[in-house]
Amino acid sequence: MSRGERQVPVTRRLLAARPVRTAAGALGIGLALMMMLLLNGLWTGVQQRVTVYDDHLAADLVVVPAGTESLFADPGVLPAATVTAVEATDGVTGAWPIRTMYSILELPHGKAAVAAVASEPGGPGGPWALTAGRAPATADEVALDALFADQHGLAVGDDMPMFGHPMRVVGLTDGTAMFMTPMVFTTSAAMTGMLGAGDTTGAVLVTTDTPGRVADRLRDQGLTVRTPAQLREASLTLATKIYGSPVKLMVSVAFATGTLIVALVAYTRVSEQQRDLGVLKALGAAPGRVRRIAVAETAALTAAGAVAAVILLLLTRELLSWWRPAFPVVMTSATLTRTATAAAGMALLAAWLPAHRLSRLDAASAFRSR
Amino acid sequence: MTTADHTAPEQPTGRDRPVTVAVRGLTKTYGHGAAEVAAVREVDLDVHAGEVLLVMGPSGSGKTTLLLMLGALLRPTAGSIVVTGRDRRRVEIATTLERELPALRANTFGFIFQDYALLDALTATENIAVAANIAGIKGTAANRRARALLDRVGLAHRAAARPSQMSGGEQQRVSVARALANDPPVLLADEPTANLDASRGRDLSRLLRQLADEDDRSIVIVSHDNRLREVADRVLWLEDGRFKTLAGLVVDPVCRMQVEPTGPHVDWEGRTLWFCSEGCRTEFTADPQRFVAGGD
Ligand SMILES: Nc1ncnc2c1ncn2[C@@H]1O[C@H](COP(=O)(O)OP(=O)(O)OP(=O)(O)O)[C@@H](O)[C@H]1O
Ligand SMILES: [Mg+2]
Repeated sequence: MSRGERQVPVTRRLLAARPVRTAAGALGIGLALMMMLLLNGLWTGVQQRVTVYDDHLAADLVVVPAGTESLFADPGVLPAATVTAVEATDGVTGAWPIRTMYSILELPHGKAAVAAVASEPGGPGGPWALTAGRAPATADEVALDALFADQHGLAVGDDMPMFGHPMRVVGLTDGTAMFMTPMVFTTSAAMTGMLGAGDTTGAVLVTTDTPGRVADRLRDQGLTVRTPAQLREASLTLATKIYGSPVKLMVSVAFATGTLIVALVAYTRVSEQQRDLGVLKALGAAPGRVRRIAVAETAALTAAGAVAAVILLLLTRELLSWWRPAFPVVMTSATLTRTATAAAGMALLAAWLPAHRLSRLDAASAFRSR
Repeated sequence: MTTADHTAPEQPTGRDRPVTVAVRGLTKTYGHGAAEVAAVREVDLDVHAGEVLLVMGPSGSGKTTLLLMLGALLRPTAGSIVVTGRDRRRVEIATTLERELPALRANTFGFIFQDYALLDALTATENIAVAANIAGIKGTAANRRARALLDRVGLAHRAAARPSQMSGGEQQRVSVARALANDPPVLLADEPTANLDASRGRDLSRLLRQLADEDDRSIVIVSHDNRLREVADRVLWLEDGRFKTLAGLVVDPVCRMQVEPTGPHVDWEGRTLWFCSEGCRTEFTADPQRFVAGGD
């Protein structure tokens, strides 16, 4: 049997015969896939956001208080003298104190949870992507995440109280919102003043050309040393611990729902076409050919559904970024690949059922009058 | 006064022609135990090349069941069906493997369904071409064949129409054309005229007659429709799953077939003579001597 020669495109004709139903089927599949993509994208977004500070730490090592795994989630204090001790260690090219913490700000519009960072002016650990103004330099200056500033009606030059201290906004930064907590940058001096903890620091950022050896030397002094990669891992683990299970549950539910919708659409179509397919069988079409028609139809619907899903997702993402900018939806090629694989899996799963039913379809049924 | 007999009445004409379908002891029982229905019981039957066989009978007598078994669409409970293909090969349908049945159907049989059973998603041409595809004719050859067949049933001008845009008679003609797509030695038709008006029904029966004559095809029609008697070489009466011979059957002097004394007849020299069809009666009245003088 030569495959090359053209045959009557039965699958295509069946799909085109009822365009509204075909479109509705594809849309149903599209919505289900879109939910999966959206949840996946949200999760990727959350993961990117919780590590945004760790990803931009311009340091080779970080000395943290004993027991600290993650900079923001479990901040502690180190004696202020640690900075000089680290600086004096052989191989260290620079040491800067920073403080990182989640805190609640009392703003004119109400309370707001932020991730506060205090660093040395000119040193690492401060704002890295200014869109307006400059980095804070004195004890009464802050730089804010631009989106957060916008939400609270703040601009460069405005006053913004922080822990009861009058501060002034001198800069706006972009892409500095951790999940649900935008970042606020200030100087070490400002934070020390606000906390009234003059002889302490939060952590020490270290630059060096020989991180391995320096880390050993610092550990020998009884200090706890982390690499930025370790801190990033800790942030991710923490986020997964908090949000991971519900997100995974939602993704599973979306997948199950999606599979069900695809299966239902495929099953309904095959039921509708059972007579047509039975006629083909009576005319002598091999069961394999009849099954291929059903599977190709399901596959085509799923492919159309995937296209619909991407369009729906882009729309939803736009809508979400306008309505709830704190919820980032990030599409990576990994997410797309995973969802495409899922869609193919769904289609296969969904096509199996009607195809199985078709192979048992009685060819004689076509001959019996309705 | 009626005696039942499971064998078909002997057929005087066409005996010289080869048998395309030979049926022996064919039986079909549906269900089990209390729900058991014996739809066809030990039927014997020979269908000859070029013959139009009409099977009549009351509703539920097993006509469709018989036809489904002949067409390899339903497996018999017992008995044998041997069909001779165009290549003269003889195949026993009853014992053919399940996976070989599709090819057997595609190469041997043409089916005409009561409700046409056309695919509404396809045009008239495509409906025929898809049957040709199934029989192994691909590409433009299938399309050419479809168009030629449409022309043959007088529907060349409706080639691009969909079944839903055609009248019942047109749809039935498309379904006849589709049944010819694989040039089958045997055509099987279940109530082909049931949904047609009188004149369309007559047109269709003439077309079927032509198909049997021109291509030496065997045609088995099951129907309630008396109009089809006109074109049939033989009429068999199925009742309770068996062919019945009425004690009161008489012989048609033209075709020598046994007929019920209920159809076309003439009063001739004080006797009433019965015919299987209007055709035989006309032939008789044209030259009665030819048939009676030569008789016993
Ligand atoms: N799939 C089936 N299961 C059980 N019984 C069946 C089945 N198909 C047919 N029968 C029974 O077998 C008998 C013969 O049915 P069949 O359809 O062959 O009759 P028919 O002569 O074609 O009738 P009609 O003229 O009404 O079409 C009937 O009693 C019917 O109820
Ligand atoms: Mg019937």
